[in-house]
Amino acid sequence: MPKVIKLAALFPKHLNLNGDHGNLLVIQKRLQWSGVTAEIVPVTSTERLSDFDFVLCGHGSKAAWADVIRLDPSFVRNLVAFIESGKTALLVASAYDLISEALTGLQRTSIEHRSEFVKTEDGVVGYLNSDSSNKELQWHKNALLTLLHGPVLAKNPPLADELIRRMGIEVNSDSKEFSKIDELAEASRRIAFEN
Amino acid sequence: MRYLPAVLIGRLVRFAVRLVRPGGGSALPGLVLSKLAPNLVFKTLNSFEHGLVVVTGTAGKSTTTKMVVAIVRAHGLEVFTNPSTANIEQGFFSTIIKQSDLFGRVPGSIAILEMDEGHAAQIVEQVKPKTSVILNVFEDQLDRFIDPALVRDKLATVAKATTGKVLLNGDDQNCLIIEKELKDVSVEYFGIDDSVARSSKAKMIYAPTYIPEIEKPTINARVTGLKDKRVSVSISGSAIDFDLPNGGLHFALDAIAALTTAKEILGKNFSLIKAAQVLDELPPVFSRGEIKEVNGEQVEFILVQNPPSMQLNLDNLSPDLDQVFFAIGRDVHDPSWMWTVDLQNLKHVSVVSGFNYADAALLLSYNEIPVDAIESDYFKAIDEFLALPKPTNGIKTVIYSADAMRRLRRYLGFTDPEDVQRA
Repeated sequence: MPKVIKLAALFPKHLNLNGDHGNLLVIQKRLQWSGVTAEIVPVTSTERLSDFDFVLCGHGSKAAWADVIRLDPSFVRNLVAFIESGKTALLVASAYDLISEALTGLQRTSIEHRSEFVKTEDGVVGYLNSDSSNKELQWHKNALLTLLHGPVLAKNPPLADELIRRMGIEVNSDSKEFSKIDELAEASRRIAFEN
Repeated sequence: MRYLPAVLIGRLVRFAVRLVRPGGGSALPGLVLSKLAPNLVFKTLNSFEHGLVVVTGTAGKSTTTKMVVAIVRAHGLEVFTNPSTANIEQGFFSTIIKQSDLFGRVPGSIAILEMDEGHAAQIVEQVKPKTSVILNVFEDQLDRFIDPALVRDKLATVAKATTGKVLLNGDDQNCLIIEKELKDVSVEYFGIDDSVARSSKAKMIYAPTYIPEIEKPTINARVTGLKDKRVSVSISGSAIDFDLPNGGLHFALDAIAALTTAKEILGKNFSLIKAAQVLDELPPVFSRGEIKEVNGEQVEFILVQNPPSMQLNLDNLSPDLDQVFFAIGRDVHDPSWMWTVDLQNLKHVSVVSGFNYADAALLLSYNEIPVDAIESDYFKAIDEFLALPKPTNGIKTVIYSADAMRRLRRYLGFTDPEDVQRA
């Protein structure tokens, strides 16, 4: 029986303030269109993260984060361990800020707040609503850390496919579903700067 | 005399804009007047014999305000109010241009205004409301407010500035937190009975507070029953039934908030029977479940402005929709929030369009909702949709954001916001 890829949605009720969990749907569908089955599992304890192939940790309000840490005091330690083990992950905005120092050694400071679409030096387009000094987007091992919230993988399909490749799976881009949806993503990136 | 030149110039701008764009032009004249006479709006709002009533919160402001105004007018008071598209400071200036005499004086003994939650907090620094109505806090406009707690803080500012009574949604924990911050101002609650909320297919998911739940207060104004459009309410022990302008839990909340507000404004002159009659006959605010005839066919218009309004409206969709137009316009600055909405009730879309057509189509595609056509040219998309053969269920459905709504209404020649009929 072929392996089912397990995608963890960390605290989805707390940490989906800007629709970051849509990125899980993007990964699941692109796997499905490549002939690979994946399931999205809501997770509210980080004790057994190693059961998963991929973890998404989205952005939450300050109150939501306080509650997450209250419910799961080992959250930061377990998530850092998962990433340092080389597993794939996507951390967005406040999730990135929360563990960036543990991963990169760089202290996060507050800079001027921005709320706008941005294009990173790698050409990734997404919405930035942050005062964080962290880089807009960077890789740490196989974890993608980004301040760009919302469906950043839907807007930037090469990024989704790179995450999938790092899970050890090749995306079958010949699949008919891809061409139309990737054209839409291109239009979405262009329109972001026309408003 | 002081404001005569500014009002005159504002009126000329309005006249010129409307010559070019019939039905449009509410923003620019207001902007001009706000630059020429920045204090006029505060002077006006401070001038009413019975004071200012502010209706604010994330969702339901327009419908609630329209309901309160209709009830209060039916009881004989002359009311100054704003149209639903003009709920920020600039909009108040536009409303003054439209309704004032040349000296900037507006008619009415009471002002009942819906106010954007961010702008309301600024306005109350200059004008203290006699009554404020705080409907709810949902997770919305986070590109602007960042954190729902900041929205709650802004609403608390409005409540604290209130000189008479603060009317709060007793079902929303955010409103109960606001109440804890209030001193020297009396509070009254409205709400929906738990049994009614539980049995509704649409759910009101207020912004979670993540603190231990505050015990629900005694709520004297309650929705006690809801079946389609028929609502039962109880206010201070008096019960009555009537038909809402539209079906749905959120409209029931608007109605009970409006009845509570009208009762507070009118005091002993308030008649629940008369108020229920008014609501029974009130047309919906445009595009809130409005049904119009277009090219000989019935079309329902549904405005989705934020996650809660999209969720509540999708939850209330009829399961047998045949033709759906889905348009997300320029007003949606950051379309990310659409990915927080559960789309399971949207089974099929005929045409996707609007400025953010690509983001809307991406969302639908990844959710594997069948889409017949994706059209970037908005007016072409409207024509394409309206040209579709008569739908099997007899009605076409338009789901759109505010900018897409304004463009479509202008394109179809619907320029009068008051020209709205009951379904």
